[in-house]
Amino acid sequence: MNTREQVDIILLDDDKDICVMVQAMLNFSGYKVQSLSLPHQLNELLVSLTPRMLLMDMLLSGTDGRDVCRRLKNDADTRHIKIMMMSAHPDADRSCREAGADDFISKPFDMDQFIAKVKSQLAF
Amino acid sequence: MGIQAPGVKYSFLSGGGEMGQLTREKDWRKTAVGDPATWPQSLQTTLSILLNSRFPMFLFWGEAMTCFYNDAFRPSLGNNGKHPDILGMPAELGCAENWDIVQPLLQTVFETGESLWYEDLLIPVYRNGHLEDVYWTFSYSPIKNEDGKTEGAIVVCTETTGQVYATKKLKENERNFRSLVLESPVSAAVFRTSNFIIELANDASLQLWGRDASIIGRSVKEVFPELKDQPYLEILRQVYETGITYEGKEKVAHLNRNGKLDEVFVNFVYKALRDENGKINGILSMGYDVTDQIRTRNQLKELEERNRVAIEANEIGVYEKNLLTEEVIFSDKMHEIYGATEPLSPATYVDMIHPDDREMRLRAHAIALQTGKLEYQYRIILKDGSIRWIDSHAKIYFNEAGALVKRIGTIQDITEEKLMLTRIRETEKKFRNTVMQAPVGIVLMKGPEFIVETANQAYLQLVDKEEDDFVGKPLFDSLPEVKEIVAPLLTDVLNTGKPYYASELEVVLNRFGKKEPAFFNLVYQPLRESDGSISGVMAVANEVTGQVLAKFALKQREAQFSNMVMQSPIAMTIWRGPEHIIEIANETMLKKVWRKEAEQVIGKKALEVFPELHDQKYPALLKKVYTERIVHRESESVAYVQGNDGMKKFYLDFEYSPLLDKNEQVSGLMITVNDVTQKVEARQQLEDAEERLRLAAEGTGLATWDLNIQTRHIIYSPRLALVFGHAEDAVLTHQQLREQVHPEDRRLIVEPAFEAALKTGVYLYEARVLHPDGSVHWIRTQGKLFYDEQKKPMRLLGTMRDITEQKAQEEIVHRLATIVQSSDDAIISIKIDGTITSWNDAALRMFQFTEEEMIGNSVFRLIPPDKMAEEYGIIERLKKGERIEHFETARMTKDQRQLDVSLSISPLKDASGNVIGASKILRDITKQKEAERLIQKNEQKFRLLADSMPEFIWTWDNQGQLTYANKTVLDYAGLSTAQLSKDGWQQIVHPDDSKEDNRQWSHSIATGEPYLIEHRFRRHDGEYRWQLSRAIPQKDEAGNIQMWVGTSTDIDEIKKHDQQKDDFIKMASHELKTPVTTIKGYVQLLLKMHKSEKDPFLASSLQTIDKQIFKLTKLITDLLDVTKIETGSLELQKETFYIADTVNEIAEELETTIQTHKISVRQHANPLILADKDRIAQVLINLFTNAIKYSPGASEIIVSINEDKENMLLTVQDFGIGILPQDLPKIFERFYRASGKDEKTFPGFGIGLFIVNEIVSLHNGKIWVKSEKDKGALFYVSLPLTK
Repeated sequence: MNTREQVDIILLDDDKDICVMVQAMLNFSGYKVQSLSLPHQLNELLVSLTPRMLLMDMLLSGTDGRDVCRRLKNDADTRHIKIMMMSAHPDADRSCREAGADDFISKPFDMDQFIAKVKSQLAF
Repeated sequence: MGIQAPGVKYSFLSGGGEMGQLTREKDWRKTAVGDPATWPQSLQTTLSILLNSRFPMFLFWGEAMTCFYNDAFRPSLGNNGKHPDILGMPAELGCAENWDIVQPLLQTVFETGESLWYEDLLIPVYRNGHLEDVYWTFSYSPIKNEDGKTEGAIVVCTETTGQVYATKKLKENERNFRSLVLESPVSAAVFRTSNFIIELANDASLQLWGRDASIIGRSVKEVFPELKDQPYLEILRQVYETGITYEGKEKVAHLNRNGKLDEVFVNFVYKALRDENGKINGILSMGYDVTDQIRTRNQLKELEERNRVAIEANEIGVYEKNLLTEEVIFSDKMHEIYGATEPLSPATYVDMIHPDDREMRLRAHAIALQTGKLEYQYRIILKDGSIRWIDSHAKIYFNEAGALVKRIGTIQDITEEKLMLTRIRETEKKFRNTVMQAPVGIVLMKGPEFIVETANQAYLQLVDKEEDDFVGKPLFDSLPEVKEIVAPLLTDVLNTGKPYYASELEVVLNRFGKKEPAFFNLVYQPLRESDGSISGVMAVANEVTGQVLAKFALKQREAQFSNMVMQSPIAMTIWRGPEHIIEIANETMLKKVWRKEAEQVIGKKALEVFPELHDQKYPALLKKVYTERIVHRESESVAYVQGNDGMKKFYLDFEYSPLLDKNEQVSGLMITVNDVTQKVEARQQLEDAEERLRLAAEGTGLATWDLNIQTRHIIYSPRLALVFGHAEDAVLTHQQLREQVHPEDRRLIVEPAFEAALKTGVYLYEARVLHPDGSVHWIRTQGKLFYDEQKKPMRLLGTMRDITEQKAQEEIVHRLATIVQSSDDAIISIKIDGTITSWNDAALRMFQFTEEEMIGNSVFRLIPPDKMAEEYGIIERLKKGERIEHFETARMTKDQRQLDVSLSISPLKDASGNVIGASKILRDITKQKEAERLIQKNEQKFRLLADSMPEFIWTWDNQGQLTYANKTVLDYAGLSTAQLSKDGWQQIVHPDDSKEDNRQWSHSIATGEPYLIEHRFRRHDGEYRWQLSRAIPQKDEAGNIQMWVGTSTDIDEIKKHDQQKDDFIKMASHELKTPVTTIKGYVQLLLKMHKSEKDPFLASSLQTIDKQIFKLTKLITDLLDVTKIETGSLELQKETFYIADTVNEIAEELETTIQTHKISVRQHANPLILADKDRIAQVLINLFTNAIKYSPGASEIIVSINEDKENMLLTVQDFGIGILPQDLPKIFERFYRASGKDEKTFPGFGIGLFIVNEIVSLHNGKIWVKSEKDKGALFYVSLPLTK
């Protein structure tokens, strides 16, 4: 477990395999990642941790990632956190952006594209 | 002075001119009076007076009555007469030639010493070489001596021969004048003195005045008290005072004739009559009654007005085209019909004709040149694009030479009628079926009861039954009246199986509201089942009642016809065949005309019976009538007929009419003859009388002329010069006058008329003359030929009148009458009491009543009893001056048929605005009405059919408003028709669908494109169910949308299935993508992590996995996209970007993944587009992977980027297997794949290009391809540039 200061990205996906794979990609590309597979863990984590980016699947078990996104973007304390959402759902792109996501990538994705998007978000 | 004459020394012989000299020089010593020196004082004094007097004087002196006379007397003796020898002669010698007259006179004077006085006494005198009758007024006075004894007689005289002759002439003139007046054909009268005593009045005058001869000798004022307030007495007075002739034209006079005050129009002249001193002593009045002409003209005017009203009310456009100058005159209605507010140019009228109808128009015009009648219907396209049907009628006028002169035509908008017809046709089409449409009646009957199974429309019409009442019932239940005749026949067919044929079978049918005999050609055919048993009978019936009745009627007519011929009081005969065999001749003909016995003529050839006809015109006429089939009529034709009592000259009115057999061939001639000899002869006598006094007409407007046939010298009255446009005193030759006649008329009218006059004796023509000022005038000439003793034509006498005004009037009336007569609508006029005053051809066609039958009869004859009250109402409205337009009612024909008519009525007013009658236009709308009823019936049928269908059926009008919804719709929605029509069908559309529904509906109404939509309708229980609704426009012939017919099908179940399928695919693709995401991620990660390793197997394995994952991902995406496209849920996220960047990115990525092909990007421009970047990427990936897939042997794909002003153009070129031409149109279809022996080489769903096409279309772009087999393919994509 990394300390709170070192985490660049919190990753939230209820598919653990994806979590592991994406974290490996991000780590490979030099980012410090804290991954979660249960949505409620996010709230707890955010109390002690302020990541630069939240990478989140749209449809989480029991929770809609877009609701999470809207809540964070409506909260002055968390508004600054870049949120990138992902989904295999066909029409997810627009609705995620409508929910306030800064970026979106559809599953499955190309690693280079994915890393490029992350890099570009974190560049601001 | 030398020798002096013996008497000169006497002063009483001085002076006296020639006679003085002669008297002085005379040697008086040899005479009875002796030397002048011895003459007594009385003689000296008398001679002195005589010689110096200017009055003619003659002196007889002494017992010998020696003659003396003076210079004044000298002329009375003429030249080469007794002068100067008589001087000094004794009277008995000097006046030898008239001594028997003079002697008694002298004796009386000498014996009685009294004077004698004579006036105008005829005393012939030898003078000027012969004995002349000389009239004298003279006195014989005695000359007495101082003793009172008479010694001589002095004659003071004056020759009055001139005056006497003048007086004689005057008397003769007076006689002539009186006879002129009395025998004049025009009324002539003489009024004497300033009291206007009627001295003379001819019969014509008495007739005009309505008085008898007892008025002669009475004053005008006394005889005509009714003139008191009229201007005539004043005019007479003025003429009497001034001597200026007064000419009155068409003056109205009110004369008390036969007990009532008549209005008379007269042309007349009052001319002063003068006595020998030139003093006015009377007035000649001449005139003629022109009342008839005026009335005729007024009637013509009324007719004109009536026709004009008729035409205007009838909404007919009228034009007149001068075919020589191409000038056209149009009525205002013309351009109104053509939808214009202002007159159009003639060319525009033609330009507006529908292109498809132009050829037909040319054909119609070509036919018109042959027949003189132009009749056709055509379409015009108005400015607003709408199409109207026009009915065109015209008549072409040719001149006598056969050249085109003008065309007068009418046009009428018949679009409504045409539309009606179109509707009928369309409605009928819907229900057509082969048997049903057969023109013969067909009925199928089953079993021994002959239960009707099917009956077509023709049959139903024959028996006047409704299908519903007729089908399914035994035949004889419906038609009991035919059972007696038909049942045995049908039963026989059913039992024997032998068909029955009948022609003209008579049955009595109870149809159309009455029992009537009908005739049929019939076939009864057995109907056999497959086992050969007879199950019924098919009857095919063709009604021939019309033909049969016509045949009967013909026979009957023939019988009636011979009867009529035989009993006619008019001479009639029928000649059969080209040889003119006399078949029948009635009594009148035999007795009065032919004067032969029946046996002498019947069955014989007419021209053999009457050989004298060969020298007459009749054989040629007979032949003409026989071959040309034209009735020939002639009046007062001269004919010589050899009867048993010798040759006789007849004047005959006759008619030759061809008799046609049933094949319309001429089989004979009917000849009708009316002997008018007596009438003609009587009239000729009258005409002769009139001829003598033709001059009398001169004063009243007629010019007269007298042409010497031999010398062509013409004498004419001054008015003739006026008629020809010259001054009254112009001197014109016959040749000059001829040359003034219009060249065409001279050749075609005047010269033939002149030739005819020389043959017939009658000269009559109307022709145009050209005045010196260039104006054209019509003249009418009438003349009669006179012969000399050798019967050679000698003189042609006649009259001439300028009839230009009359012609112009006739022309207008004629033109209007042509229009009225050529109208398809009945146009009639009536007086306010309903009496018919005009009746056109269309009225005859419509009602079968002829003009003769109807004129003067009441219009009520046409009105069905139940419409009488309505007609009285109409008349009341007319009396108030109202117009009635397009009023639909019914009228009766002669044969008691009821017609549906549309009435337009305009009141006719007199000059003071009182309604005196009406012009009625009746249009037969029976067919239209029948069509309407038929349509209604069909519509009922259609509704019944529609209502019984489980589908929703509805119609919109061309504005998209709901006009009908079947029962199924109403039941579904739980609404009444009224509720549904009030708020439209939109009220049951789901609120979420209504926006799209409205969009589609508006689009379809605006463009005419079919309406197709899936939407939800609310059921009566509140549930919304999906419906697939479709509507298709119904167009008329012109392509205009008349209505929309729509259906809605409940697709709720299907829709739910689709939704489930959709959901499943979305879910499936999502679920598939999740594992793929993990796999793909790891492979890519591994590839990166082991990039530098030298293990070629690991690297290539990972590469392969990555490639396959790419394909799998694409498959999943494509499948999902197809679903989206199908459900219409493919949405675009548009952004602005440079397409070249995307192209390069994808090319690079693919190159690394696929590695077999190099993708060369040739960028010629850098277009910026507004598009869904991911979707465009998808397009590019599909195109690139396709290119790679289908060019396995190649190593390069060439991509080019271009742009023009509006679009960017991207091409993708491969060098692969290419596409077969037949496959080119299909490659963008779903699940289409290149097939053939290489199929296995190119797996896939065949959805790539389908998706590409859809995406490009959604971007308003285009995609197309050029390719040949084995030559690669070149795909083009164009997308609009961002602005």
